[in-house]
Amino acid sequence: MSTRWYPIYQRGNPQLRVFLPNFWMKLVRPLPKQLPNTVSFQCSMEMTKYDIKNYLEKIYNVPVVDVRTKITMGKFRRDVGRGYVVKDDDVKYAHVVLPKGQTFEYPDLFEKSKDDDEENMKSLEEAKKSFKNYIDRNKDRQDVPSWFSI
Amino acid sequence: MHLIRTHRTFSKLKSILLRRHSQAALIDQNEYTETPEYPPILDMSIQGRKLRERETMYEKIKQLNTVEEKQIALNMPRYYGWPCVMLNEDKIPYNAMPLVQCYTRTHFIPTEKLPDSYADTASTADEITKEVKAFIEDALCIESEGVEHNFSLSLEKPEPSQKEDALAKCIVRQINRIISNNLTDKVPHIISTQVDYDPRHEAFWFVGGVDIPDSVLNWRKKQSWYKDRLEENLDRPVQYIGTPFLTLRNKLPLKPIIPYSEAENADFKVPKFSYSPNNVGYFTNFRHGTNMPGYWPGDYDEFGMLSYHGRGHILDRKESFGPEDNLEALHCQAMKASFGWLLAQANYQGFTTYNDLTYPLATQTVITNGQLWSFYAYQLNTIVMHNEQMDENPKHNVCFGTKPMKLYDSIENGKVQGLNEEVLKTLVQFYLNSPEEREHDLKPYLGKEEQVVADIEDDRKRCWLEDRYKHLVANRPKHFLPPETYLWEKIFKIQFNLRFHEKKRRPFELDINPYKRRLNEHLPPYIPKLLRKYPRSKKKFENTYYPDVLNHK
Amino acid sequence: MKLSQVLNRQHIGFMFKKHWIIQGKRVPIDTGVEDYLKAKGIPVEDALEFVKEKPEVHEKVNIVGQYEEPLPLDENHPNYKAKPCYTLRNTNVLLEGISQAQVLTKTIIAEDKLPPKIEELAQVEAPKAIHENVKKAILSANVFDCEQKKLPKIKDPQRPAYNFPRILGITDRRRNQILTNRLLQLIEKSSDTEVTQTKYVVNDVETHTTFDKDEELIQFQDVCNILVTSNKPVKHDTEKDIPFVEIPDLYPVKHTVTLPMEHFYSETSKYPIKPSVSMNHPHTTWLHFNKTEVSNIYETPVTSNQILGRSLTHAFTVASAYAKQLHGEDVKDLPEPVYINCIQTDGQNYHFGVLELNTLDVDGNEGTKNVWYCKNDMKLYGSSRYFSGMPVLENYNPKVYGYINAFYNC
Repeated sequence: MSTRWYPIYQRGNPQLRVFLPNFWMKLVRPLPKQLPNTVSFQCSMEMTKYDIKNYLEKIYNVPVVDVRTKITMGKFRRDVGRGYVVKDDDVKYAHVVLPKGQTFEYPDLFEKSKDDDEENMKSLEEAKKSFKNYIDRNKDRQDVPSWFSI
Repeated sequence: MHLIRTHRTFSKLKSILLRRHSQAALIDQNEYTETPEYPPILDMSIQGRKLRERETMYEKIKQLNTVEEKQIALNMPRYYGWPCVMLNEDKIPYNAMPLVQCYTRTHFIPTEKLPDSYADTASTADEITKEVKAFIEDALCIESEGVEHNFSLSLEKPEPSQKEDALAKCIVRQINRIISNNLTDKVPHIISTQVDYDPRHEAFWFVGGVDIPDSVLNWRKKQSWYKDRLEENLDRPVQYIGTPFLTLRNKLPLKPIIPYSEAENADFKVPKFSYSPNNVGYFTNFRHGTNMPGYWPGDYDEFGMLSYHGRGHILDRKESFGPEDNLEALHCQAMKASFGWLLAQANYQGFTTYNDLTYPLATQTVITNGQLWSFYAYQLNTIVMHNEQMDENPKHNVCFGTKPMKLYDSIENGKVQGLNEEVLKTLVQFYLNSPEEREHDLKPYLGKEEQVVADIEDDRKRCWLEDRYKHLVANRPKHFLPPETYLWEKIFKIQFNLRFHEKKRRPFELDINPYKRRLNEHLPPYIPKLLRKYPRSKKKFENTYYPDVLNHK
Repeated sequence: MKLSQVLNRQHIGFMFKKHWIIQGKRVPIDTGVEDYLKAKGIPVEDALEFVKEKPEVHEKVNIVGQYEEPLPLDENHPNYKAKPCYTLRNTNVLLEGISQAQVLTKTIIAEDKLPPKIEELAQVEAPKAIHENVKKAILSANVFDCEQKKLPKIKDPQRPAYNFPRILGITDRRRNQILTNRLLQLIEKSSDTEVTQTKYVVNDVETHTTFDKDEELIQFQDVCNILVTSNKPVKHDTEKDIPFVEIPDLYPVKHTVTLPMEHFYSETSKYPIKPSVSMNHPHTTWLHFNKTEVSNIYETPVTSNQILGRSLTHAFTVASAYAKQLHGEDVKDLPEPVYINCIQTDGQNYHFGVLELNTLDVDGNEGTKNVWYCKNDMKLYGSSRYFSGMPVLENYNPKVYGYINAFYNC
């Protein structure tokens, strides 16, 4: 499937190489209001609707009823530092329709990190509190350095 | 010149004086009443004011006299047409039933046999079925084997579906011929029924309660006054386009299938479908809204009886959709076609998508490919479903429908095998269902004397309106290209302000949305000096007769 | 000195041209390599020797498309014949009109005369309700139908370059379809069920007939816009001693003039309904005259005489195709005549005709001849259109309906 050139072997190069296929699909967060039985993907430009259908059915055993593809224009942005307007690459989106009863929910990827966040926030709060205590305590002797205490 | 000017100032002065005087007199008379009279309390929030503006427009449309003026009035707010959701008869995406049901506000009742109102014609239908059976068998054989047809196929659609539709059309014409010839002596309404081949059916209405598109949402996020009503819904214009094989229409409307009071039955409630239509696979197109039941306003036979549709599009659907969805697609087609046709008829009776029907209308729809026949009976109870009414309107439409049934099993050696008499009987019953005179006024919102443009006395107005209406509904391309923001402008003028030194002339720089241009915002035809009225007429432009329904800007 | 020489000195086009002329004849510079190599004993070969071989020609790959591609029209086509055939299609007309049609079909004409039975039936008054319905049909075909398609361009002979705005409306094809079908429906509905059950109606079917005339092959390809067939052949009693219009001499025009020659044709005739069908006897054939579709092969407008000729060739096509199906391809004089009714219309004017087909041997002007009874140019209505915003139907002629009804019921 890969159309990449196999580079000429030079001494010292790895003997085994892994070639990724040209066809790839990336599951993306759906639009805010979308039917529950549709799934959105970004995919490589070369893939046709039939490719997408086969890809999902043959590799992942996902029942696919219908595929709608759309190529969206990449964003324009200012180049950092230089100030030119540059354009990002275009993206092909594939909206895949699943059979009627099935639903798809985009997974919450950062469930674990949420706990971490909470912990961080907790320690931050504590630090803030102790600092406030310290300020309160030394309210009356503002010009005294911190090491000068009992 | 001098004289005139002095005279004018004087008269102005006089009028001011007079007015002050008369006002004072008025106050004197009505200053005191028995009970205190307060002006009505109006909702002065922005939503309230907008709603009142819209309601005055609906009221003005209701007050218009003729059908054509009402149709122009529906299109008045948009010069470049509405971005309509296109419901084509033969383009049905996967899982479209909830959307179609919601947009046509139709409760679908799957049945095995026809509803009860057909029961009293059952025995006559049996007799007639026996009479026509042999002839229909003959016709089926002849059409499928005995005649060499040369169907002209277009390259726009796949071949098998076109072939199926073409053959089905021939069969339908034969069956219609046989049944109606047989029935002319037995029932009186058949002889006066008009038969149309391939008529043009179009219908236009507004649907509320649909999610706003992302582009609108993004725009609203930038506006401070939209902060607390980001998700407020807009009306979605919807356009139906279809071409039946054959339709029958009559001077009188059909009897309602169920009593009109049933329309508010809570069992018939249709679940709301608020996802945007391109989620399902229906897309939008800019066009003027048109309502067309296959004839221009003014025809005698205004009420539909029966329409035959093809089912070739089922062959074009993907295999992965499965037979269950194909069945639903047939139901969708029937609901769209029946609603679309009835809505267009209702529009010719003076109702619009803003003024609700005052009585029910009914029609019968047959979808066939010659062998498989499905029958639908549809009752139209309501046609308003714009934003304010989507949730409040208690009425719903009702559609009874059967599964596709086989008229015959196969044709072998010029003989029809296993003709199903039940199917034929159902079809005959559709023909036997006779239209009836209604006791109420059929056109309450049309003028007494002027009901169509042809009734208008004023020659100029009549010709102008007639011309404008036909031009509008033709949806022919505009003489000038529609306005466009070029990509380079979007990048270098809108997104990044890199051409700040240039004069601001383009509409987006002047904060004008060209698509909000109104229908009457154009120069009327110029009158050359030679043709102006004899002693110096200063009138440079000809009159226009656009219905005055819009609120002033 | 001329000024142009000075100007041309800086002429970029001229410069380019000169440059190409020089660059086009470049001579390779001799680098001395060849001599050097030869001195070393290395053979030098001409580079052109290597490019002599022609590139390999790949076979054309058959791509499975959505549609079957039509076969190329060359000598390998299954329908290709070396002998050309003069072809008359329904979109073409004969140059000399009715007289040429007479020569081609060897027909004599009874002008303004129809068989007595038809004349008799035509005088029967139809009820008023029927006429109301006919008027409705006329209006719905001309006025109330919703079709909005481009109509032909309007030309003003006084100022031929002026472009008028293109009008949208009902095309003549659709108008004729609606009107004729409605009229037929009305007649069927007002006739007895027993009569209608013996008849059958098909729309838009093709008939072909091929025959020899004076050693030349001629074929007529026609489309019956409506073909009414019945379960037994039509019979007409004919009057004797009618003043017939004899077959004219076309000299200096040849009878095949304006018939384009074709090499792709089938020699057999084609009647659209198979003999196995019980109701296969042609009864009445309706022919539409669509002004936008029918034309001379040269740009002259179609004359009324040519339109009349069309009726005769059309009736002959159907009748002879039927006769050939009945009696075989090589039949000459028919054992008993084949009758067929023909109605041609452009919506407004109706041309009625009855063909008595006695022979398919159309060589020369002698022997048995075919007979064409006709009654032409009957107007159904004066005008029907939107006139200053109002639907109008003027001068309705109820007699025409009588004739159409008589044709159906005879």
